[in-house]
Amino acid sequence: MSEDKSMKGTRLSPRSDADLRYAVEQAVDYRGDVTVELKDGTKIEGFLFNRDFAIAEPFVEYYPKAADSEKQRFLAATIAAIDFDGRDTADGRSWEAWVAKQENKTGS
Amino acid sequence: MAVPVSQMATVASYVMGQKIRRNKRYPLVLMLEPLFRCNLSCAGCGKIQYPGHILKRQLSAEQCLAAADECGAPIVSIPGGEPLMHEEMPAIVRGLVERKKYIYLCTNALLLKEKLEAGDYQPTKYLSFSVHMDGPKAEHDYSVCRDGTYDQAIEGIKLAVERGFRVTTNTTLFAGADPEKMHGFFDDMMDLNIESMMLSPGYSYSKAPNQESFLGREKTKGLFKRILGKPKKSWRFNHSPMFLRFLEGKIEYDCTPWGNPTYCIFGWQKPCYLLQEGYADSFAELMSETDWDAYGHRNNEKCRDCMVHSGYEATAVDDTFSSPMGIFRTVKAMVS
Repeated sequence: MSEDKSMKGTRLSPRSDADLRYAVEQAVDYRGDVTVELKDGTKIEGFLFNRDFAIAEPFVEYYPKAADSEKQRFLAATIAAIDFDGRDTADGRSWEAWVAKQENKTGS
Repeated sequence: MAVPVSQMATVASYVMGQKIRRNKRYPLVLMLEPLFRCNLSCAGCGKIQYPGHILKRQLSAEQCLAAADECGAPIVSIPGGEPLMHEEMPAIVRGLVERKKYIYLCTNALLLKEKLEAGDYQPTKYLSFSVHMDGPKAEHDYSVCRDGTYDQAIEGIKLAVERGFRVTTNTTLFAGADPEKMHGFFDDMMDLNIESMMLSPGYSYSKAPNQESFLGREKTKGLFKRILGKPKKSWRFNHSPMFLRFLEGKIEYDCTPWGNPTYCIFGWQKPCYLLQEGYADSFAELMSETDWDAYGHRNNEKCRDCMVHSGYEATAVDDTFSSPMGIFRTVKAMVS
């Protein structure tokens, strides 16, 4: 996973159902926390891990950032915007560092 | 030492029972993932890339045992993360043993010696430590991105074998694996008096750091043909012989994603151990609400190159018990 493929730093403000679905899929796929801004102005910070668009009222499920909190859900239709502001833990930096260390060791 | 007869009999009678009930979709191995936290970050692993607050979360022993009861599979594989980092793991194992589940506790063994010396686990036919060993020393240490891990794992394996535990190894093969070196590795593992070895081609996790190491379908078959072409009698593999033939490209199978259902802190994972297409609240919901036909190497791009045991071992076992010909094919593969 290279850094340039990461959604880190992106803000998606869906304007259609297709946009909404795309934004949620990207957020669920993202291996970092996001901030979801709801249409009523509420902000939710956490890790989005599940969604269901196959039902009448599609929902999104997440774990809030607070470590001892239970999983929670909200209606997908209430989303105004999603900020991909948490660190992308799948950005591959630890692997790149390891390879660089090995290359230095062998002098290659 | 080989797989206990009681385990083979349990699996055989369970599968036959499903066949008699004409149950087309049944779980064979519960993949119980109690935590994603790990003390390594391996190049080919896509399981542990989560924010800190997710890595701190874990299933309780009560949740783990409830999942095993709900699923009903005779075998429970406990991957992760690193299960030995879970402070309730001894209680989880005890509870599963009480339920007569055959457990494969998947570990990198970095903590194995410490946990065994602390008396956290007792030898039983129901418990096998399945130690992650990605090949000979240099290859293993490179693959898990930390020097010295091979030696530490060997130390743990030796102590576990000495104390009478069942021990298997679990090896993921990536592009560039050298068949000659792997043959030497198999010899080394069997010399440790382990029960048997598990092999699998690496699944191309989109979140894994090293994307260049994954094998395509044809390359997987070629590699396994070279590795398993002339097996020594001393090598024991913890697989259905039909699954090994599948890896060598000698037989075509479709995936059985429901065969190894996965339960983790997010819920019951749809559709399999490797893809994350959503989560169900219950095992029953997973089985009834998942669009199973949308998956498999013919139907889904994400499944195209997957030949992993969590998808195909259950197919091989089901094939064996599907007809007298299936049993004949399996016996023939065992003796050939």
